[in-house]
Amino acid sequence: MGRNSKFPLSRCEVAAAVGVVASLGLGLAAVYFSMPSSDYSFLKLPRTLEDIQDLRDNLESYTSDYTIQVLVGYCTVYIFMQTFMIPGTIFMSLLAGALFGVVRGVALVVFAATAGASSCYFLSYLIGRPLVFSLWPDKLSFFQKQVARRREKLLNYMLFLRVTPTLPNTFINVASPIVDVPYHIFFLATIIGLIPAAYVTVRAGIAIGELRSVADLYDFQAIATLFLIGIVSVTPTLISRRAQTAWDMLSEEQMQKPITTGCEELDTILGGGIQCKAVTEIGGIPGIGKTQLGIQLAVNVQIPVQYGGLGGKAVYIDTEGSFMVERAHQIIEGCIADLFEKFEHRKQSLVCPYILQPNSFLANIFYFRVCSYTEQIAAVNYLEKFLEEHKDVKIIVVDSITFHFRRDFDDLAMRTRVLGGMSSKLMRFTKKHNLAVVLLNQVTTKFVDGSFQLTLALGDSWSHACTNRIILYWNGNERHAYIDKSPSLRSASAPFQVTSKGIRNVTSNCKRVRMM
Amino acid sequence: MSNKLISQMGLPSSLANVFSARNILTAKDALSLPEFDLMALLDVDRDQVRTAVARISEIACPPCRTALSLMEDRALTGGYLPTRLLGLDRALRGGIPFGALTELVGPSGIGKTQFCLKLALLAALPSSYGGLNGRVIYMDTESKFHSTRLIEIGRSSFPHIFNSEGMAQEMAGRIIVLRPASLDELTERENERSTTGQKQHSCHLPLSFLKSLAEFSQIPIVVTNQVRSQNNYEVVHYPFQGNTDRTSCMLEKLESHLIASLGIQWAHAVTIRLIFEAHSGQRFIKISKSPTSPAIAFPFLVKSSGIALLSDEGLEVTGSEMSTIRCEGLNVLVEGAEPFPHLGC
Repeated sequence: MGRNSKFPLSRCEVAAAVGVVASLGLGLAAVYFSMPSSDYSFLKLPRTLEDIQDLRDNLESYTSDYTIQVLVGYCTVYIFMQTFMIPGTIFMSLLAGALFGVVRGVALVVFAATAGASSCYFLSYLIGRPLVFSLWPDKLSFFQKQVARRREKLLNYMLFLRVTPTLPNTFINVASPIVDVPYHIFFLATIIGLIPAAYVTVRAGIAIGELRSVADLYDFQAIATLFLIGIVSVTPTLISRRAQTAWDMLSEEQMQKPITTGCEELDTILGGGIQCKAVTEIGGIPGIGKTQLGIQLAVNVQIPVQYGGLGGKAVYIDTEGSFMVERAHQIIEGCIADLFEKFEHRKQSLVCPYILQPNSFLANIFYFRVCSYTEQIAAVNYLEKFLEEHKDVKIIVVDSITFHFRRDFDDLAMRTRVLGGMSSKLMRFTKKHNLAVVLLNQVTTKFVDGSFQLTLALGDSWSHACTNRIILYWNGNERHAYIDKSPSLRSASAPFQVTSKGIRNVTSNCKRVRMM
Repeated sequence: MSNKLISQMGLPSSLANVFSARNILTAKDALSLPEFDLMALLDVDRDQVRTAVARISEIACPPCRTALSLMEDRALTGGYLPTRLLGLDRALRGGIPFGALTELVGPSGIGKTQFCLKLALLAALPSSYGGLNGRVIYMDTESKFHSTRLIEIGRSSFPHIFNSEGMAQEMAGRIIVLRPASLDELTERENERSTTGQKQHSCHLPLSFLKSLAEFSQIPIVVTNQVRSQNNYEVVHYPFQGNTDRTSCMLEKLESHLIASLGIQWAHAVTIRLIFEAHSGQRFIKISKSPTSPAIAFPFLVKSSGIALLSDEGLEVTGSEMSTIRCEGLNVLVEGAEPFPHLGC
């Protein structure tokens, strides 16, 4: 189906919308034609209290004889009004109370309101989403992110919104699918949240004769009760945790998504990918692909939440000048292409199309070029303030941590202390801001057991500074990654490949993609 | 950045005075000391030290840019010096990049200087002919620069430019040749295998200078490097790679007994490494280390017009072969190459 860039709706969606309108119209017509002939001048959409009292007087006799028709007619009208956001549903609720009593009235109102809200939800999903995507993409992505962040407590928030009169119900119906509130949460929140308000209205409907105006309906006591119920539903979100037990941490750890490296085998041995809240050191000989892995991680952290990523930003501290922006652009294009391929079966784009552009990925990588160890220390210190201002940074890559420290320091003991200070600062960032720190390191030789061996630079005391340590090496003709040190991961080795799209799995035919 | 004076950073005057009283004048002095040492030295409490260090760091820190702004800058300045070797340019995504250090390493007599002469000429050419229209600094430490050869390359590759009046003189006039004596000391020290501390120091002054020069002026910098034999106790493996690989690594050692000079630290420091080697009766340019291309080797010949590739497709190179340097059967007078009596590289 073609999607014209000017008109954001596809033919399918327009057809569906027309279908919904048609079926509702048909329902109304059916009711109209099946009603016994009589004087129907009072049958109009109720706009004032007098209309309700009129309708009530006239319909009371019908309800006992023609219950089905009245019920169907009532539901159809209610759903119609809710779907197309016609105001006045409060009068319909009053009417239900007047005609059917408390218990049946509440049941009817809740059923009709939920059905109407659902149909409004789907209509907005079909039509509203693409429309708003094209009109206000940045505002929309901001709201979507806010909602995605509060995913676990979303039901509580929705309940609060439904129970209390904070937002008009029509607005909630229309806005929910646009900011990616899933339908089951919407349904639950609506069906439970409307009960208190429906109860208040229906009860008032019974005594409709005594009502002077709509304002009488919502007296102070009623509103206070509604807010109380609302606050009870939203309290779980307000309790913040201070000291945590290991059990709480377990559930948190399980929920924390790791950053994928692009190669599935490597992700597997890493437990899903590079873990947030940890400092990972990656070392290897020159040309093995450390910078490639660093750039790949800085790109993969930006994969939107809807596609299974973290939707965060990256800080790249470059000490050697090895960050080539054209290569970053290439890796970004490869990542986006793979995302589209993986989610091909979803007809509609899960996020604003403008997010999945190479330029917006590039804009989310903050680059610092440091030329001496002083600048490196200054940059790490400055990050403390930077991270307060940019809360969505989820990874810091330092490429490489070694370069300036290997040459200019005469006093090795001083070097150890300065490095220790830097590493403890970085460790603090991971815990406080819930991000990952990746340090790329060079190799050096060490005389051990009568022979020289390769080891990562900066000495033995530095090796305590990081949480996990990964070494990249050549195994025959393949690049491998080996987990050298980790408190939670088993020592294992996995092959990976550097292709034009970035870091990927080793393909079985072993032919690498040629760069063009 | 690291030499910024603390007195000009806007710290509260009491604190600034304390810093200068203890002879901590620049950002470098302040940040080289860990927090505790600073506290002890200045005799102030932790919060004050923390805020002072945070302020100094904020000023000494390099400016933050987004990758997007880097890309836009790159688009403005161009970014590559095309080498006119089609396969190589394609693999390097344009040519020798600006702002990065490119290294040419290979045994003697293979053609590194020829390549350098061609590059110097290409940079000096006017932009209408595809050059950079700029001046070139050629630092010749081994006295291999011959201007007659340079003119010959020019005449063979760009006859229409060089045969016109005065152009040869102007092109050659843009190339400034320096013959520094101080770098001789560097190569001497390398051969001595002196203590680690000294060796590291002598390597790095020119290295950091070259790198920052490349970046700030956004020009390509090309260096050539020599090779040396690999000793028996040369490092091959990590401790976790174990004893099972001993036999295979012995075989490896017998085959490839040359490695680039200046060690593994220098290897980390260069951005792109092109290895010139000879085997199977041909000479190859191999892209050994590059952020934008996989390892590909192109066979080449040295001709009167400089270097010419025999094939633009190149062979893929995998595994540890990427970093080995082979020199088998290299003879200056190889069949197919035109002999140059004055070729001494």
